[in-house]
Amino acid sequence: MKVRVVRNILEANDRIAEQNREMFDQNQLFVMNLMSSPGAGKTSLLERTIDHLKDRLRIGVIEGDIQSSFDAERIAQKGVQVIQINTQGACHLDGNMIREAVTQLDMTDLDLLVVENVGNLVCPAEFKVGEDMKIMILSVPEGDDKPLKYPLMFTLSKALLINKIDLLPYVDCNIERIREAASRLSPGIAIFEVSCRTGEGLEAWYDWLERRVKSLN
Amino acid sequence: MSFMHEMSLAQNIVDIVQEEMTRHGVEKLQAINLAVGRMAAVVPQHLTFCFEIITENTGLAGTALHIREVPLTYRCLACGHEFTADEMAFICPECSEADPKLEKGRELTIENIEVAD
Ligand SMILES: [Zn+2]
Repeated sequence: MKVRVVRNILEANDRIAEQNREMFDQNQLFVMNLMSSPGAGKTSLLERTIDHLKDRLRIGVIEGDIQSSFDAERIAQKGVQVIQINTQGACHLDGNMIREAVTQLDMTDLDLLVVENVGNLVCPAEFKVGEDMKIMILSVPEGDDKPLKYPLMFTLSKALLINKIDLLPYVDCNIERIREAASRLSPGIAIFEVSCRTGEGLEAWYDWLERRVKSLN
Repeated sequence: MSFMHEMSLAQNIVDIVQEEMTRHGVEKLQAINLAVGRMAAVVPQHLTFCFEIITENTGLAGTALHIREVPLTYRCLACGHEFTADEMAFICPECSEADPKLEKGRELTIENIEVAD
């Protein structure tokens, strides 16, 4: 005998993410879920973004790491609120981890909360944390075939930063190919070609982010 | 890395299934039938493997996990043509417009459970 069920496997996480979202909205807090492969430059982007925007936005960070707290220490030096989540080996952050982490933050004193997800192009895509938007970083040494190899993450992202463009002369990567695939997967996606090492291209990103955060507040 | 990810999905499946078993007064299952979209970030073999590990020595041990893979199904917003594809599609094969909308392929659903006799 078959018993009809028809339930989403991720319903529990979706429900918690929805509650997180309501809590963030009540606190007028804009939440960005930042995703990439390991080493694509999430922490460097964050350092630069904080330096540039911290006088105009009150920024907090949740750092998801499989083990070390090295990234969190780098961010803490910027003088913003940082919470480290050690995922104990898990390959993604979920709604529950974020719900627990924010109890250690003063949300009323923040405009923007950045959730730096675990470096991984697959798993974080399926797990909502209650964010207003997902943002991706792809670095040019990773190659231009990534959007079609990991379509889900690109499909869900509102912005894509193509990082390490200072390395373009040395790697085999066609930026146009990335732009085209990403735009098809996520129509209207904002794409920024940047170098977090030299600072090139980041002004447009800062402006875009600030406008997004302020339109909510 | 991705093993841990399917591990949490397997745990969610167990939680939901146990809830449904209690609700329907079912004691033993023969199988659990899932629909998993081709676009979902899931490797079916990893999920089966994690489910076996999690249910070992529990009442669900030996329950088969059947995974029905749902192909990417598109509907063209220009001409209404419906088609399935193995990979991401960006052009309608019927009218060549770049307007196909993904309708199916992101499922992560428990469709039904089969009660053991
Ligand atoms: Zn068509």
